[in-house]
Amino acid sequence: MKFDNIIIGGGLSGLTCGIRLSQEGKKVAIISAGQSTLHFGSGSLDLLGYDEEGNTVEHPLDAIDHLNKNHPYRKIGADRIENLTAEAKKLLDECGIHMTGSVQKNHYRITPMGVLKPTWLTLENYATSPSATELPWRSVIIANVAGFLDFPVEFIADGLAKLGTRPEVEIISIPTLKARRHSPSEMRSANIAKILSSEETLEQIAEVLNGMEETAEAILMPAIVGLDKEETEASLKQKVRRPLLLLPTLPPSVPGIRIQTMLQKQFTHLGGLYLLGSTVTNGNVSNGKLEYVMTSTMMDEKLTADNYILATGSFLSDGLKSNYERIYEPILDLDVEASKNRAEWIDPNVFNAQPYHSFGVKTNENFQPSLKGQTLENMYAIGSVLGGHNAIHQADGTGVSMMTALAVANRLINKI
Amino acid sequence: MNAGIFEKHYDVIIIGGGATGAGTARDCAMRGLSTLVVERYDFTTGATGRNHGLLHSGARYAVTDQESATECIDENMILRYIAKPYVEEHDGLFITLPEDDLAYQEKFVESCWKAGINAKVIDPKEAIQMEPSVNPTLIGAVQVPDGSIDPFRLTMANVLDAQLHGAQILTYHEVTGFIIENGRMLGVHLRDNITGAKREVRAEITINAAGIWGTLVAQMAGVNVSMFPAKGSLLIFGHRVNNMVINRCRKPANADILVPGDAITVIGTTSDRVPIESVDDMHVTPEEVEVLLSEGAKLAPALATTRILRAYAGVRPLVASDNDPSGRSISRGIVCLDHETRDGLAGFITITGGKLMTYRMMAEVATDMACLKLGVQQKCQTATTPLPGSDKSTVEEPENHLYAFNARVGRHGTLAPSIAAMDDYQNSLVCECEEVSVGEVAHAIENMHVRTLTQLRRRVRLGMGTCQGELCALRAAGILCASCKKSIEEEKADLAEFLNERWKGMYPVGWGPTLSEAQLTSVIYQDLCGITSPSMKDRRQEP
Repeated sequence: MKFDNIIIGGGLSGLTCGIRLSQEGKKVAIISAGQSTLHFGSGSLDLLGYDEEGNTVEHPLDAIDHLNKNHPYRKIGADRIENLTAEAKKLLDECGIHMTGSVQKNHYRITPMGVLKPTWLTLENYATSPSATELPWRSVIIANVAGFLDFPVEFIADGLAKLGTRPEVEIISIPTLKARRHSPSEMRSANIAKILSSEETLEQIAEVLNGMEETAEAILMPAIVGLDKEETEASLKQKVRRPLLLLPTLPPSVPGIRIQTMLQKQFTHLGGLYLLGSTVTNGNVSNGKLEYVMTSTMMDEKLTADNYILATGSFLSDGLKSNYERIYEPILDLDVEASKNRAEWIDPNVFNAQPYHSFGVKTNENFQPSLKGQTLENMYAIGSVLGGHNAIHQADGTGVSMMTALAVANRLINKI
Repeated sequence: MNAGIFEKHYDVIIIGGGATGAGTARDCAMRGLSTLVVERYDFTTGATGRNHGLLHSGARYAVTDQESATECIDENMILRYIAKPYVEEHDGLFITLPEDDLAYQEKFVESCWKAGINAKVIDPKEAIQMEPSVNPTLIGAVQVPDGSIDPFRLTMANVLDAQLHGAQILTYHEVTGFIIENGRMLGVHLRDNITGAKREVRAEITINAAGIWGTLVAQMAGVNVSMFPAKGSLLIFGHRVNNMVINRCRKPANADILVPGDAITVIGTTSDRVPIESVDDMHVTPEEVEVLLSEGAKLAPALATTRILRAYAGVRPLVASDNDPSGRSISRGIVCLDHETRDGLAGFITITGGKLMTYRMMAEVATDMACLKLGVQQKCQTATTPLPGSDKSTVEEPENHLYAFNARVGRHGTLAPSIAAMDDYQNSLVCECEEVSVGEVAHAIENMHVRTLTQLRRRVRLGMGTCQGELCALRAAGILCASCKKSIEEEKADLAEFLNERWKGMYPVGWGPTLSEAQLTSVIYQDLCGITSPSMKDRRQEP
């Protein structure tokens, strides 16, 4: 099978790149092993939350020039990042993923521990604050579903109180949920969201929420609605008399799953081929070019393309692997930026920046990887498989995914 | 806490909340002595919680140390009876590999028989059938009655029984000195390691059961108990590779025991003398990992490709006797010191040496000595009285089948029905890996001296599974907050400590799936949730 572009990896970066290329009429295939890290997401996309010293970044664009020169943003350049963020926002809008926020100034998302973290874009209907030190409400109700343990209300209430907002915790239940609770493994966000998708159950929830005391300015509830579509959230909001806002929960992430689904839909709608449940097992490189790749599902079929994009993610997605001896990229054994000494991969304090979080595939300025020192002309690496930054400590993982995906897509579009 | 606990004059104060301390408390309390246990941190934080969890048949010591071997097999049989739910009876193999001397086998079997250990030579082919994970190149095999035991639950069962017989327990209370007058020990000075409060308590007899720390405890009393701190490192594999214990049929050496327990397998140990000053801060070194892996794969080749969950190290409280640098030739025998006759300090006893297998016998010896001094005639009954959870009754499965029912009975035996399972909330799962419900967490908080996540882990295995606390830690933290009346800040610090404690065991084996799992944990707790390192003032040092 022959394509213009083959993207290995179907998470945020792979899909962003695939959509952008498909918009330009390219014939694109995405080979995806399954769930992506969006399933562990917050419903926000971060561009750059903290600098390398751990200070909160207010204006991400201004901070880019101060980043380490290996940071993917430095390869793109601060001036281009601004345009790419606008492109990203437009792309998301077109997918039906409606987010608010500005690249000029970070806003703050509320975490499942009730603390604020700087971010770039947040889904509409999710609770945010423009300020790092206070929230937009004097008092709120935190309404959790009985038996839902992945939304620790004690911590959230404490976090909000510390920011000067009076929290009131209410535990709610409706008959359909009560029935489900007989199976203890059912009380996970995505399972609940499946139940809270019918008008009937939304009515029941709204009735309970509307029966609460009217002193609080807003109601915050866990992100357990809107698994398939944003309209479910809107419908519930409409039924509730006070402002209703959502907060992220522990995984699985309902907003993350929805973002993934919407991106996937858009990609296939544009004519892309999404090969789900398949992994690339190997490929053949000759004369500095990748000639084809083989997959686990079509064992005898060589898949070929003009260009190949590696978007396989970091260790937790198996885009990078490690063993007793070394860190490596498992498909082609591309050159990596990583210490050869195992003792230097980790820091004994889990809260310090872990060196392995910054490891990744080594690329040139155009995100082209190399094999034994030779650049692969028709190959690019995007997203979390790239090194040069610490997504956990800098809150820039989703931003790097989208920015590098678009930078590479634009290069491929403009090249011909 | 009951304020009267400090005012009471006890018959016995026991220092140390390991298996020996807990066992001694049970024995003393059962013989009617008024008993207090003081432990500086949590139960099982010393060698009790850092070993193989091997229910020794004694075969390992048969050739080199008949006395220990006999003690082991006697206690092995007793524990199968008194601690049924905490023991797995799966037998063990002693295998001879081509590089080993097969002639050793004969001597080995003969020594086993002499010690009363039922050792049976079996055909290597039969051994492979019995234990398919065993190295297929083996040239000899002997079957012995080895098993495994959960030291955490064993110790808790002793604590619970001691309490049922009236013993008082103070965890997080460290002995900082002794009240000694006219050559008699009258009691102990204590520091509450949580609040910093200073207290003193008095007793007729004080028993030092502090494991390797016993040497320091003795020092505070002005007597010398010379110990040989022998560090042993172990690795936990991510699933149960073998179903029988696999040992090497040769003189005891590094990494020659592979023990299955619950859902995992443990390989160990190394043995190196370490300075006494370092015993509070044991880290597994890359060299030890290397030895454990390469030797382990000789027992069961699958280990070379099995995920390693974590690494840990403990310190054996061996009593020094000669200059053996590894400590291997030192007897694992029990040492009970009457400091009155030995050092002229009345009212002070040290019980040490021995091993997890012989904790009950150690307790009996120490309690016998205490009773003699107190003029108490009661005989020891700990060998014939089942521990809580181990009585003869059977647990009826409830009509509406509970999700985690089997796991619960596995962990708590006949005590399982006392775990609240009345409604859906109590039945919700906190930890999916180990199937721990809200009710079981609440039960542990209520009855088992639990205030932190790490304590919860030791009691109900929460966070011990393959994900090492990825989601359950935060869920349980929420429950701890609500039920222990702790401040949110305190619980946040607890959560951060728990995550760091899990990482401490993971980073020495930080490659392959372990590294990937650690990254996912970082994504959830740090990136998504925004948990950061607690400030220094909120941190509490605990091993």
